[in-house]
Amino acid sequence: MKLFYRVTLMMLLVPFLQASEGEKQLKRSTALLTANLILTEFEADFSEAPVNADFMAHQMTSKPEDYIKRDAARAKLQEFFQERIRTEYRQKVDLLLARIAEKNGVADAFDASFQKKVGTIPDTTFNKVQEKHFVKAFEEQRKKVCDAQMVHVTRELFPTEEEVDGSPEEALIKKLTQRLAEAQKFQVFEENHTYLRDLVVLPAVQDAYRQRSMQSQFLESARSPQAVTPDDFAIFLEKTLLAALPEFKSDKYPRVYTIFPSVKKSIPLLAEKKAKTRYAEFLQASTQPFSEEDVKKMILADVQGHQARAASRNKIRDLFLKQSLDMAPKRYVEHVAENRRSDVEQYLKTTPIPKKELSALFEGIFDQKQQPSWEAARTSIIAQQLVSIYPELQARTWTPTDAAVESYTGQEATDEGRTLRKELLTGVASSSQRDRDALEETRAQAGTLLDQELARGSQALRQQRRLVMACSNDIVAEASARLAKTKPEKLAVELFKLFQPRIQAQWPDHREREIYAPLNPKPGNAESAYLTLFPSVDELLRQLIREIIQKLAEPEPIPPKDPPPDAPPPEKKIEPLKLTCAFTIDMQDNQIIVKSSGDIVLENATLPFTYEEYRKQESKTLTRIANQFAESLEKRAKGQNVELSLDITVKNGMIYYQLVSRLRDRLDYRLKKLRDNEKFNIKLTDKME
Amino acid sequence: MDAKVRARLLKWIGGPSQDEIDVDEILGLMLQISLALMMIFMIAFFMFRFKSNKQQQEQFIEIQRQKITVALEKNEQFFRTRYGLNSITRMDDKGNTLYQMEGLIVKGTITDNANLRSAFVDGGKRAYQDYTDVMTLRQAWWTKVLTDAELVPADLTQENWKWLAATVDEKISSVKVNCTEVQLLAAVAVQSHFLQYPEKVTDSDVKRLLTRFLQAKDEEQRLIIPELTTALRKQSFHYLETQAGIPMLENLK
Repeated sequence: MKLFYRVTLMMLLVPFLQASEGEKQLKRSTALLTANLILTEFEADFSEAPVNADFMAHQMTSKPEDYIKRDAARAKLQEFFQERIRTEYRQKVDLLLARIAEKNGVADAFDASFQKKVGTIPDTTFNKVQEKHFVKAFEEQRKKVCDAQMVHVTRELFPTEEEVDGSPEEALIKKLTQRLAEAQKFQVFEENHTYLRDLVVLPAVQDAYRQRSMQSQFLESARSPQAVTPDDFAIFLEKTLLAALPEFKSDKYPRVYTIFPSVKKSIPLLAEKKAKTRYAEFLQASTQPFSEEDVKKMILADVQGHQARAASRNKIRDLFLKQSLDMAPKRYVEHVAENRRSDVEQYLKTTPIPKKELSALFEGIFDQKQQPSWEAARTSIIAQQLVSIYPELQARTWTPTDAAVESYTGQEATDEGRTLRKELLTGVASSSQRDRDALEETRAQAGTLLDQELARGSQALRQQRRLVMACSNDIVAEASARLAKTKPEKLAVELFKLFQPRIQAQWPDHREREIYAPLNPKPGNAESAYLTLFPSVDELLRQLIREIIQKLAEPEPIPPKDPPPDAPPPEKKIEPLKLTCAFTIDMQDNQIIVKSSGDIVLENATLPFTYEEYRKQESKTLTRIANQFAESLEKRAKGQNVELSLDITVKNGMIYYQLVSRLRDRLDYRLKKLRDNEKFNIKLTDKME
Repeated sequence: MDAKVRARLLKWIGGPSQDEIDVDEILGLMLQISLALMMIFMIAFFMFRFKSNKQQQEQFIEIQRQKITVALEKNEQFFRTRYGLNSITRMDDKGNTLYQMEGLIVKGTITDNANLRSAFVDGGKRAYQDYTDVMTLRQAWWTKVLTDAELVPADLTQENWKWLAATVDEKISSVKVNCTEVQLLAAVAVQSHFLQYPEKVTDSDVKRLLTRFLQAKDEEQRLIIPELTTALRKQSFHYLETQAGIPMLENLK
């Protein structure tokens, strides 16, 4: 039995004992090969990897007296550096070899000579490491110790954040100056105080103020796309400000201040403001106005309620505000991420924007977003109403009756004229009910069209009168020739019959030239309106004829019996005084300005642009202008023959109510007396620019 | 028996006095003593007889074992030759086995010497084949050993049967260890060559592990080294396999 056990034991041990030598050799050679490969790579890596050069800083700070001169410090540290590279290389190689041996289970895998050989850094690698890393490492470490020294030296120069906030500038400067002197262990001579203060302490204090200001500015301009509540903003502001602090450092000073207490204190308020602004911006961007169609429906549903422009705007605005204010919080909650909604709901319960302020905000939004569609809706309704309620005015086919023109002309600014105009406007509407439904602007536009047509009628009447007056000489000549043969009464009838057709024949061309030629496009009634002479014109002709006949029939005044001893000198032909004047009507600062220019210059006259105000002042102002002009003209003429060319020009293509026609009528009326005088030849024209 | 004797006898055995005993009783006593003596003689005889048989048996086993031992030696040489070990190895003066690796692997390559090459390549091939199926190999050993010993299995005593089984297994293992040793040393020679020419280490796993090693932290480096070692060992055997065109016994581990 003993033999059996012995054999079995041998059988188990023999393979192990026999295999061990080859296995050991293979393990050793594998370890060697592993080391060889790893060290080859390690060598390349060693020259590339940055070297830990903190020892340089340590060396320089532990014995600063040895490293004061830069070049000497560099030379000295280079020696340390070289020794360190060699040591570090050897240590790393030893560590690697130990690790490889341990993991291969061959403790004696590397003999001492091998370890010594591979533990020595090759010259090429050594030079490479030195060239690549020494200069950079030295510069970095030198700067590090210099900066540290500078911080140490100037530590007392810089105020703390609390000092900056807590002391007035002068007190702070004084305190720092004193502290700096104490820290340097010397007493500052009086004369040097100014130097220390202005050149050393003041710039440092100003830098502190600058950084504080930059911190505040940064907070003002910081924007977070995610933050919603004041808490979010407060966290965001503090975090981003902390991260940004190094950016505020000046090149001159190393001090980077932490958040100043005053700045920190402002964060909650600022956060609240930003949260509020975020909310307001959201409302601004997301509030949807009523569409033009909706607004139109609202107006048409209550036309009379919306007649006045201001009332209509108020009604639509009230609806807009109600809807927007009711929906605002809900919409804001819905637009944030689901996990934030409860926070936002909580925040909105604190009423971040007071109701009054919120209303003002929505007023702005209304002006910006709702007003245009309200305007468009109204414009659309006005256009429709013009067509349906005032079709003739809109098509410009309406023509006032001769009687209406005659009654209205010259009475525009009077109550009678206004009453007549109102009656005409009501009369021209297609139905009285619909007239009552017309919007304020519809009536105004219809009124403007009516006024234009009435103005044309008045112009026709005046032109016809001028034609009559222009025949005066002919009538005189004809009457003189016929007076001896025909009785005055009969002569008057004959002359009327002679001149009325003549004037009537002249009128169409005159009408076309004076009234319709300047108009483009021409109104719809251009071919049919004012073709015949107004009854009052016929009457004027009759009156004129009668006056001429009467004048001719009066006996000649008896000339003085004694003729002047000397024959009167031949009458010198006197050149008429040619005057060119112009009135320009323009707008400035919401006022109508009437300027005069040319040979007669008056003081500028102003009229308000608001219709009601305008109406109050129109008559008075125009009368004053006409009187002043006439007086100036008379003074200027001094009995001479005058040829006056007077232009009335309207700037900006605007229609200033009835201003142009009324100014012309006033001037016409006031100059009539002068015009009747044969010394005056006045040509009055108006144009639009 | 005279009276004196009888009396002395009775006194000696502590029996009754002469006056108290009769003749039959004395005869009976005599018979018992005779039987006792006979038993002693019989025991002595049988003891002698048993010892003699055992010696004969041991002698038989020993003779049989000597035959088997001779056959085993012969058989071992046969397999060593078959696996090329005799061409590659030799004994030194002290009886230690020496391996001719310097002649076998030249500059990292298997030699051109036909004998050595054939011993390594063909022998390695056969060894791999045989050791892939150890049961068949063991059968072959048994058959060959018993044939050489001119025995049939029935002749084997129980002890020799067990002994032979253990010895055959030991021989098989021993030969395998030698074969493996040759291949291990060949791998060592290859690695020595790689040491001189590290650029020839082109295995992608090795490269990858080296790269990882340099980028790794301390603890991870410790984990990578065994992986790298295994990869290098594997690469060495793979290198031999590629050159010889045969699988290595390393694969049978």
